[in-house]
Amino acid sequence: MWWWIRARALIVFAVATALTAGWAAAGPRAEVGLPNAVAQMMVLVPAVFLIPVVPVVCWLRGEERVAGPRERGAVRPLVGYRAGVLGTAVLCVALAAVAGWWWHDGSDGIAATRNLIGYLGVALLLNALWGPRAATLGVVGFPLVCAMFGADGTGLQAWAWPLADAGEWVAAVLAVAFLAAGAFTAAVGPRTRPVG
Amino acid sequence: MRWTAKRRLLATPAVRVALILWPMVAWYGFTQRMEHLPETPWQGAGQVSPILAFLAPACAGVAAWEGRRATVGLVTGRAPVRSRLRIAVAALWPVLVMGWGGLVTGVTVVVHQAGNVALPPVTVLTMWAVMLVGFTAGGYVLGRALPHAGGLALVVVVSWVVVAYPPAMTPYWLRHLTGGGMTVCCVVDAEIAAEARLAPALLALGVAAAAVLLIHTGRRVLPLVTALIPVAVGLGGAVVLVRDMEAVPEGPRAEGLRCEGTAPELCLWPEQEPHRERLDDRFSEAYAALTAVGVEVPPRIGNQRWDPGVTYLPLSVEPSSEDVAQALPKALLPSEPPECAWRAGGAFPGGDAYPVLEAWLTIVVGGDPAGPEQAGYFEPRDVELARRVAELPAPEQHLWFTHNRTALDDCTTEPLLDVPATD
Repeated sequence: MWWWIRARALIVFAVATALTAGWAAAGPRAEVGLPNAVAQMMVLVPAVFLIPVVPVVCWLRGEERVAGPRERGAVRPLVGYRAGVLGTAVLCVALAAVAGWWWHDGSDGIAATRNLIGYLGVALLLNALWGPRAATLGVVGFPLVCAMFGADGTGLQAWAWPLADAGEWVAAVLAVAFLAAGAFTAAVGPRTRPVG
Repeated sequence: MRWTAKRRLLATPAVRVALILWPMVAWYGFTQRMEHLPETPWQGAGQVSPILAFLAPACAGVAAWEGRRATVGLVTGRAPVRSRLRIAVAALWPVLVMGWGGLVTGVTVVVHQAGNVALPPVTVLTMWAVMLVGFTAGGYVLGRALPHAGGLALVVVVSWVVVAYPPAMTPYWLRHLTGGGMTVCCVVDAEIAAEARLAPALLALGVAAAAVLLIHTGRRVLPLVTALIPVAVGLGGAVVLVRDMEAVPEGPRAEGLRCEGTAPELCLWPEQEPHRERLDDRFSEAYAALTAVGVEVPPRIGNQRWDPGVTYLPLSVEPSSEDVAQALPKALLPSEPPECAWRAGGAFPGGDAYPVLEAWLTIVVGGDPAGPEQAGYFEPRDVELARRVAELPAPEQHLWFTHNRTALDDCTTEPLLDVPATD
């Protein structure tokens, strides 16, 4: 298993996840201004909404390192390993978010957990269809596209779930739907190696 | 392996991304709130320019993706038949087609909504095309140099920051390095300044030249240092070009102004030309009325701020009769207080006469200073005084106007803010 961890560079993923969890728990109120093309303004987004992109990109880095048939002939239950690692990461961030909520009464950590789930879904989906490089571009580009077109000065479009507050249940449903779609596609998707 | 056209197409990252990008550009164009449809090619360019904020990162990102594919595939490490540059060109031309196709989509949508008049000028289209070349070439080199797929994220974020943020940044010249100021350009008598069109292209060419050098020579220290030279030249040249520009990258519009007629000789832009006959009649009426009360009228008037031989008249592209009544008084009065008014402690009593004079001139040229178009612009007491003056005999109106007009030019004349007594 240690070789599998090293091959997938999971230490980097674990560090990035720990940083995300730490941010979700500590909850510093840093905001990032993202340009919006529709209303020609800046959309202020809590940094913790965007930080989950980092562990997901690190995960995709591991996907690139083992891309192709290298894991397909494995004797060990690697699908279970992958699900276990990702599930543990989500659980860690979720626990940190709950701790942060209890500690300083802020719900941004909950939204960060939702976003980690959603970004992972986008990554798994694109990775299965088009490969890890396309998935990296997609995961990074999606929140930027949401900021550029998802707000019109009066509110947020429903599909721009990465920027929604923790209380928006539609955003949570969409994030979970992405994860479900991504997990399903990864499990039963194209058997050939994505060309990208 | 025999590659069919279909497989070749679907295996190309640019094709996949184009399938998402082009509809997104079109969707953005159609959902833009077009409260003010572009009325000149330069305004059309301003309308299209925000799409560069996602076309450029898309080109850089997909080019980096191609670069990463070449690295992972050890394409140049295994005695390739073709040169590095040819391999790069083969990988990158679809990326450029993707980016240029996005541009064409954006332009098509704007032209569809606003008509051919909104078709951005060729120089601006060329500048955007060159910018995309710079982002594509730079993205490819970065994609080849970065150690793993995570680097692609960096390329997208950096290229996005470079294009999307400067339009809101100061100093202003930062905005013009990547064409960010165009969104707010231009009123009808202005065009995007040549410097603002040239600077982004120059910078992009510098980056592209450096990228070509690095692709050709591979990872070595000397080429890396040498590659900094075209980047520095491009950046330095671009900064020199735009360093003194204001937020709006405008310059005098070079072509199209046509001056015709007498009393006044009216100068109009091609977009205003269909209204010439109606405007001629309206101005003739207004000039006759002004001359009747002894107001000196400028012989040449039009929507042109840059030529001192033409009295500036702020007219829209489709001016109404009431627009003329609003614009003409402004053209007849000084645009700024006299120099003495700016001195410390200096009084400028004539300033109080300005709104009354403007209201009176509006009445004289046939407008209504209390009408809905001017709602809230004038104080009711100024309108009331202007109306009372306008009812006086012409010679007395002339005397009142001459006195108050003098008060606008110096800081000693007390304005007449009452109706002169009639004999």
